[in-house]
Amino acid sequence: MNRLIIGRYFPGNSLIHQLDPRFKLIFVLYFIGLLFFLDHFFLQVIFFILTLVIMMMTRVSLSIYIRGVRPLIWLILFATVLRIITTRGGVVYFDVGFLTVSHFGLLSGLYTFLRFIEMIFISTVLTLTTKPIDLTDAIYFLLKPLRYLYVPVEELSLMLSIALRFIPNLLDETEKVMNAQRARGMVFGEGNLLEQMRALTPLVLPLFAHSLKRAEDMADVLEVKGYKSGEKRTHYRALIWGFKDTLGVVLMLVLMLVVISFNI
Amino acid sequence: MNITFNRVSANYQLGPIKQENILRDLTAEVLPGSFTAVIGPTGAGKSSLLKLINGLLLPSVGEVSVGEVVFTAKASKEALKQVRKRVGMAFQFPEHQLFADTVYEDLAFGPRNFNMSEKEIETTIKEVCQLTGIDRSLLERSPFSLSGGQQRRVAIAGILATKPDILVLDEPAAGLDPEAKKQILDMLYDLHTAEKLTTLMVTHDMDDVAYYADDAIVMAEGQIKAHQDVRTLFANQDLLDQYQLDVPTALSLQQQLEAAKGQRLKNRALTLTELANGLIEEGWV
Repeated sequence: MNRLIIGRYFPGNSLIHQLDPRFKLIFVLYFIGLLFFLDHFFLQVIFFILTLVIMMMTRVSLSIYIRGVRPLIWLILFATVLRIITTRGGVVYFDVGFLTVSHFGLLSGLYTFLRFIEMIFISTVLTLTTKPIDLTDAIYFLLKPLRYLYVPVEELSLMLSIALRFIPNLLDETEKVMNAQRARGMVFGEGNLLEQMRALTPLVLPLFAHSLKRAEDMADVLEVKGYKSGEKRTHYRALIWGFKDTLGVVLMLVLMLVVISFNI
Repeated sequence: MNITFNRVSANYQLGPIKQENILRDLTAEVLPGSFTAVIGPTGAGKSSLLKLINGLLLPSVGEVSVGEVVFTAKASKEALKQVRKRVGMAFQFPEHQLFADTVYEDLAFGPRNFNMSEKEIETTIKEVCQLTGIDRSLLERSPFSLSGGQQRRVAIAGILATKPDILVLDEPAAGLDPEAKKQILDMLYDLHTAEKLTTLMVTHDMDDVAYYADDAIVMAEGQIKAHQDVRTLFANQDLLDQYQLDVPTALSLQQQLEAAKGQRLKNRALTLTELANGLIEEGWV
């Protein structure tokens, strides 16, 4: 259960930790968006280095990031290989039927690979350095305009923060139930696919039952404490936009200019 | 069945940052047929010690032996299966493991994993129900429709259904009302004596230790700090103070009486009956 790195917060006091979560969230979305416009080799290098620099600035060790990539590595490799063998152009090294390995194919395979890795790295930066609760506040802030369309933004953000709050509990519980069933002779990850899926029932069902029960308790507690939906709320944690965040926005603009200048 | 720990260290991974050697250099021997209490402050590694016994946690250094099966850093699937069949393990709040449609199916889960025949399973479940006081009419009900106390019974019955020789209990009575707690512990104790089981139980209640256990393992900071019989343990006030362990209610009462009277009784009482006898003998009452 401890392999899952995405969604875990690493306490720290680095520059990245100090940034406003709203800025970080926007920056990450923006950065991922830009990744799709990198058609030039030089741009790829710049963004790769930039990603590494940002990762280093968080002062979280590289191995943690690599662990975050590991669960997805097969998917990434699959996409990369697919890209390589289906793209034609430049010098052809290998050609059998619809399978082609060409210079151009290899290059765009590399781009695909880097794009995936950078996407994972940069979103891991966000979750490693931002408390889930701050992230929820940021999402809430960014969704606020939707209130004018009668979207229940307050409730959505409450739901989100409760859901995030209980992820660690759920992981711990999963481990406990797994151990309990193992102690009763259950073996996980054995047999064919159907057997493996069947083996999940003794794991998933208790978790589900327990979560439902907890959700009920939680709803009661909210009501007892006087929570009402549709009220106007003030916030206990205020998000503060600092000079660093404004600098960050400047960096975003510069990046945009760089990408545009290469694409013209 | 003998359980021995021979210079065992184990890493217990908590979160993404690995804590090194949460269990350090454990050496202990649990004699067959004994009832051993595992006590110590929270985070001392008590639950991890229990997990070592059935291979849910493997030692990084040293070896654990359960009967003739020996675990080192690497354990074969066969060895694990063999040991898990012999060791019945109840975690904290064991009712969280219930999952099946009916109580019967849940009780049959363990035995089926250990390849018992359906016929055997049926007789075993009958026995276990009698033992744990589960009414036969409950067998067809859904475990989720039962009350908390009943769920706990069913969960424990599910563990007993694999016919273990060793019982490993992690606070089996936590969160129950005093009546249900006494019933569960008495039931487990009776089973322990009747079937000559070897039992280890983590508990925070020193009365449980006084009433049920023969000996106690004191743990703190991932190490075994003491392993002695219960009477010796509660006679050693310095040790109790050092690891912030309470004394049983009877002993605490005795200490208050002694302080008030300025005199001491000859023996330290562990149970209320012992205390009453002591008071009568010395002519205090």
